[in-house]
Amino acid sequence: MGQAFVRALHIYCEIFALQPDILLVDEIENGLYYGGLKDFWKGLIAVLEDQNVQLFATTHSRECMEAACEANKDGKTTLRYLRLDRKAKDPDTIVGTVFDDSTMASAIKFGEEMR
Amino acid sequence: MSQIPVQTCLVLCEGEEDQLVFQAVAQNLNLSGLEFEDYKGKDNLREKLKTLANTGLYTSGAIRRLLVTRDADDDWDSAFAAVAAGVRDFFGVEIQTTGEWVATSVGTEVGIWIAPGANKRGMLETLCLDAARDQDANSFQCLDQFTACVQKEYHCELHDKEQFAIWSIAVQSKTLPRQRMTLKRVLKNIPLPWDSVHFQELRQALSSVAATD
Repeated sequence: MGQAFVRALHIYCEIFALQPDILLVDEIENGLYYGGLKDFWKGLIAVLEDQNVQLFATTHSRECMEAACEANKDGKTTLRYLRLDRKAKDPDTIVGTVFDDSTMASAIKFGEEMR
Repeated sequence: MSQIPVQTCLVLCEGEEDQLVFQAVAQNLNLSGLEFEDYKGKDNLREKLKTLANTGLYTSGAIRRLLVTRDADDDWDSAFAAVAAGVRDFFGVEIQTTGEWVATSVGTEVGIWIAPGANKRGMLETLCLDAARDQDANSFQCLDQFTACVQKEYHCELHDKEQFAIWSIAVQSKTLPRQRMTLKRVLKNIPLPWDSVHFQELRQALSSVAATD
């Protein structure tokens, strides 16, 4: 089996086997074909909702963020994006920005950098 | 984690062609450190401002100065009020007039400029039209007669945008007809006098964005 399948299977196993309240996944898009990201997110969102699990996932991938936004177009779940930046005038200070699906959809429309 | 953001000054323009004019004027002034973005029409301005307020570029304080521009069209007051409302709602500051810079909670100074200038009707093409008129008075004698005739015959008002387009088509005699139509092509083919007195306010607005006082 390819890495994508193994990766997805691993995440689903974590959900069903351990039944966590919270699941943390680093660089969630790793090993996944970019064209399949939307379907991946659709399936994952459905399972997370069904199993009542809150997912915290990190990514550097714009495709991954856009795919998540697309997959949640019908608002099946509450999706929030959290971005961390260094302050321009004080690089040792980190500032966090939280935004929702509608802002992400607008960012896609305007080609804004949201990573 | 993002790298240390480099500070920049950002000018928001109503459309792609407006952006080209702003860039040409800025280049004429030898201004550096300015970035330009278009928000694809005034109906998108609020959405653009809301999105920008949530980008890391803004929240990190990387935008030193932000100039929000729009065409006045038929009503300067309404245009200014619409932009000021967007700035208030998404950046949390009140701007009372053009030329004023107000700092937001992240340190970005925000200003507003409405084309073609303070309390005037029109758009960016109005400035281009006025500057072209100074440069090419003879052609405009013909254009003005044509405009008056068409407006009388068809009971309509030819917009500054349309008048400028008609003039620019005629002036580009060596260019293929299908290539004459857009402002993008015009700016490429016709050297407009960016130091014309008609662009004075726009030059001041852009110089103000880039100022480091």
